[in-house]
Amino acid sequence: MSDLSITAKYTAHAWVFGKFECAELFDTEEAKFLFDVTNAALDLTSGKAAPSLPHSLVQRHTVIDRLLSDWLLERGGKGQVLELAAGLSARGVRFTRNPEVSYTEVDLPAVLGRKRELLARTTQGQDAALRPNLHFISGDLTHLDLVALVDPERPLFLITEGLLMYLDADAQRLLWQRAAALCSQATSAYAFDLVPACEQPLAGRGGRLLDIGLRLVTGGRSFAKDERTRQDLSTDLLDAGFDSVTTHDPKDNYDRWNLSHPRVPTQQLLFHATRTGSTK
Amino acid sequence: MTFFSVCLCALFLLGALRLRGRARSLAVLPPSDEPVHPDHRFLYPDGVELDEATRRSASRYAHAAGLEVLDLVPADYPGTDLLGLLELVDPNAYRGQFLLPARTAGTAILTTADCLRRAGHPATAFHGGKAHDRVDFARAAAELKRCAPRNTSMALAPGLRHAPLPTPERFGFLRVLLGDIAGLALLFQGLIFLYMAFLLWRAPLAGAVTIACFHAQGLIALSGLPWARAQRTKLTLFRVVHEVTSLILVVLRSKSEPRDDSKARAWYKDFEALGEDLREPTRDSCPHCEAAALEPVITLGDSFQHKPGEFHLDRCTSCGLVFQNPRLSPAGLAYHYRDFYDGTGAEQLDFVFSVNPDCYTDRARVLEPHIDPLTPPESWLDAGGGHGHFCLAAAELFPSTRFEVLDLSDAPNDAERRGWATKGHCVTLPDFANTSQDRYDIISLSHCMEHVPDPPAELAAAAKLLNPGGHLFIEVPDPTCKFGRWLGRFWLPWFQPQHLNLYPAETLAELCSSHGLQVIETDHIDAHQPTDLHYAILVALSSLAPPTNAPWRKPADWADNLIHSLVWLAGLPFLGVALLIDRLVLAHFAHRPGWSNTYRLVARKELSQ
Repeated sequence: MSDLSITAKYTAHAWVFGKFECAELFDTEEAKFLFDVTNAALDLTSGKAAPSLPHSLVQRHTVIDRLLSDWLLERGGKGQVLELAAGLSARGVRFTRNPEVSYTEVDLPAVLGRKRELLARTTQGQDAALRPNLHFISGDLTHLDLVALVDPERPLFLITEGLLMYLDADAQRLLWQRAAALCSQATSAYAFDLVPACEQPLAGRGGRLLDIGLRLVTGGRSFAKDERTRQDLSTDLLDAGFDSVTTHDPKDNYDRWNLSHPRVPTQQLLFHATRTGSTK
Repeated sequence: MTFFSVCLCALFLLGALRLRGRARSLAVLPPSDEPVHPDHRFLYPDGVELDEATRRSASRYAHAAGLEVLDLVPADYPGTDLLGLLELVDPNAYRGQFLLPARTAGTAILTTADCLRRAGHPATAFHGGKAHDRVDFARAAAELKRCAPRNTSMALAPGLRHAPLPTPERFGFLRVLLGDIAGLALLFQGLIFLYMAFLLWRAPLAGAVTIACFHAQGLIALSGLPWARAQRTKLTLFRVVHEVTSLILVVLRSKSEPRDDSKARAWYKDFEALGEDLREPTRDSCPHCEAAALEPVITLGDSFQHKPGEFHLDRCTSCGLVFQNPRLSPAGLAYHYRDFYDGTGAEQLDFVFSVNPDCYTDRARVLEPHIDPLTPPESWLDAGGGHGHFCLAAAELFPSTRFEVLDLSDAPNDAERRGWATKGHCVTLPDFANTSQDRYDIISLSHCMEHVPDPPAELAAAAKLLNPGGHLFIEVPDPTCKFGRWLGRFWLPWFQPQHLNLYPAETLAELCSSHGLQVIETDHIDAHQPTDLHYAILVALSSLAPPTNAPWRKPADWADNLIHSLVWLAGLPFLGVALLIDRLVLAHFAHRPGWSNTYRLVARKELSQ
């Protein structure tokens, strides 16, 4: 889980591309350049049938937003949210406009430091950064005491967006155990994205190019892959301590997620794990 | 000639694109009506006007961004200085580069009351604009960044007016920012200008194009930035004139302010007068296994400070220990360590230790497989940790761990004051173990065991200080590395006269076991530092052109300084090539027996102890 801020920059502009509210607060010329160059390279090297990376990311972000909105709605608009590896996502800024939502973002110091500085560039961003219900916690997730970051007496909505694909199977299971422990209160929920390797198309030139690029900028780290199916992943989540797991493929139901019907193919899979009873 | 001209043009244009990205990431402070945060303080030299609007906007920005130090760049900062500043710092990444030395525009700094208190003098002298020396202001900026390594940044203040840096102070200012390479940088700049003039004379068209590309840098870098309109125009039209004039003035009118090393010189003079014996008697047996089977390894001088003396290393053919023989006495160690890690050498070492922060994180990661991720270590003692660079880096990986640093020098006090370590102990590990009741989950000895006169005593102390089940991490140079033989006196890990004992991995593992520390991991591959060749070049250059500002040598004149700069400048290409070979070629051979120059041990204290 080292500094993957290059992906944070790419996604920062992907959220602008997806017209998410407040995303412009984190946008920079560098992010736009990176987004455009990466997409141009992928377009040139991928076939027409290959899933579009930016559209898939937008779908992922939308679905998680929607799951969180629904969860808060069920709770009368109140709740605590913990987003791990939040990167330059504006979700925390959007949801903390509601003062009843307590939102904690966790990421590496360099990423969160930059995020706060990007917010501080504008008056609107400064107001958001100084909200008492928006918290920024720096540290490497591996050894960070996550329990200390949440109120154990209240249900939690936990998000890890764009993180699991970098972790190997053991690291994923370990994170899910920690997630289940955090979600000990009934009605707590956990949302994340992960397309099982067996469902991914064979990497074409575009995929290989993306992989090489990622390895170059992250010191050799790239996407972790294993043989588990979505059913295996769900079983792992249940074993970790969650009571139920639902998977959502955005393209199966555009209307439910209020997604526009893209003309380009996408690939995305969201996991939504919940706790129904307390383990206490 | 045309080839070099094309290369230079390409470098100018690529550099311009790099500067463009940096200029765009420099945040412009938005206006604010909020009052200045009560915790914020402003430092600026006498003569700088800091209006209320700028204070408010800076305060609000720093508060929202969670900054403890914010360097304010005036909107009318001269174009040449602005490009120079952007060469040194990428505002986009500056905050994340926690070990990078400070960069400052030299005009005004916002900081917090706590950070100002910890930074002390000279920073406090600038609170409220009471002092005027810009070199001291740069020193203040440097210490403030050390006190807020992860919360320092810079931003453009539209309402702040630039107060010109007096020419006599320019070189001193640059020297604080760049350290000892400041002179080299000026020489390099001068050579570029001379080459452009030569081109203009011998190949007017190529020369004109090269100068045009040089001028275009400002245009490319600052285009589209409304606040930089004036700088852009001036740079496009007059850059060469400005920079050449500035360089000549800096060379001719720089206030010659040699470092005040009178106290250090007096210490060396007094020390020599004492005539103390710097060495212990020569041994005819191994200090580890007592075997009387020694073979000579190498005899070499002080490769870094060039203090007088020759040092001989012997190898025990029985256990493999390589040791200094005769060994330095306590007085000898005091003499040779002085001004290396502290005193006149402190700044240079700070630069060396800040070059590769990843090496500290990599060391901390070695412990990860041996630690339950759900129960990270509560306490970690880094013995021989100097100013706490390791503690600062490792704290990112283990945010809830209490890091303490121990060192014989007074560096741990700085580490504690700056917040790099929770606590600093200025004592030897054995003495600390005798007096302290504290116990630790992890103790690290990174590049420490080879310096200490009595390694078994260090291990006994570590064993005593560890909690049952706690881990000891050791990283040391490997004396069996073939590069030691191939590169001879240019192999850095011989590091005389400081390296007293170099243990082979097996012998050190046995020594650990004898103290109840079971070795559970030995690594030669990841521990390898890809530095053999380029450090050998550094040692060679240092032999050809030793440090000119050393208080144990005669004071340097301008000719000494010029020769020193020319030698190091000439060595740069060799250094570059050697660095590439180290990183791209030799690093991949570390798995071969005898090719790795370093090894790591992780040992575990038995639970029953």
